[in-house]
Amino acid sequence: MKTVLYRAEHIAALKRKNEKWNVVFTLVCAATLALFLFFAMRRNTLNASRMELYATVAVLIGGWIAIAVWDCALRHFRTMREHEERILASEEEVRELRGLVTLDKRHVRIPRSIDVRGVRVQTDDGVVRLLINDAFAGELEKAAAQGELTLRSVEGYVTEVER
Amino acid sequence: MRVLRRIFSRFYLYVLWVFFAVLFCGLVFSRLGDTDPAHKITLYADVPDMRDTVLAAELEKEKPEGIRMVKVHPFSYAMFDTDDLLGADLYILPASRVEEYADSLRCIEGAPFDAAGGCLRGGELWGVLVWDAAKGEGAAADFIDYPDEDCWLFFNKDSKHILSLNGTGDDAAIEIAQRLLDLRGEQ
Repeated sequence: MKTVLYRAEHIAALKRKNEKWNVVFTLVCAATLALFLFFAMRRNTLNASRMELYATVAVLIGGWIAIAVWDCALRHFRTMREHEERILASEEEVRELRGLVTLDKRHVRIPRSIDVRGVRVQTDDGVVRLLINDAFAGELEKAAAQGELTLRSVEGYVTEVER
Repeated sequence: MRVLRRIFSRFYLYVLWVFFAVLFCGLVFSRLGDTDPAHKITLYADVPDMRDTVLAAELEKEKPEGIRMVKVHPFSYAMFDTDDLLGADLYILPASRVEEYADSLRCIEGAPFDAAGGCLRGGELWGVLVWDAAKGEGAAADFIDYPDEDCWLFFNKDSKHILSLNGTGDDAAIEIAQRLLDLRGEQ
């Protein structure tokens, strides 16, 4: 059974997710700004410190949510998409290996790119180390538990898994 | 898990945002809560305690023309900003502190205030009695905790809101002083 990890449909799905989260991000920013303006406009001499506190809490929490959405969704899906597009467009020759596969437990973030995990392939010729996009690590882990696998890689990233 | 991992890896951003939110809101609200001295009346009171914002709101109920806000502060507010204190329009001072601030005050002879119990310097009226310690009554006593001595209301000699006294600006400080004196109360 062959599993192709890098597919054009996956990139299209990432694009859709990015658009959806863009809307969420915009809504969070707009709501934060609206709340801030609301409290600023309601301010008077008597309630000034209370309104400042409310506005600060609104900006603080709204900002935290916006940062989380930007980093965990927008940025994450964008870097995934860019990475997958680069691998699909790569002209480097596909490398094929067969052997017992084990995955590193540790996740590593490539600066300005995706999270990856190390892959150790025990072949007849020795040990070969590859990387796998963290988003696909679960699929490889499941397949690896059932014995030897054939892996195909491009630029050092696992792109196909075959039992 | 992935989300938590990402949040922890960028924890510094969330901490930086705390500083930004506090600074930004503090800056905007301090700008909203202040205005040009030409459009505000500032009263500083050298008293043990006061409900400054409630008193300010009370005095703002009928603002003189051209005045956007009335600011009321205890002297402790000016701990790090003596310019604001020295630039105030009105002062409430206890008898024991008058000489300390005498250089900033002016004679109010001719202004429409009751001279009874007032602070006299060189035979002229300088301060209006706002707290009679012997009787335990005075102006705005519901808002101000006065000390155990007489307190007077004074005008800053450089105020731009005492037209009748120094011939510049308007009479807004005198109007606010009258409103304050009308807020009678006992302690």
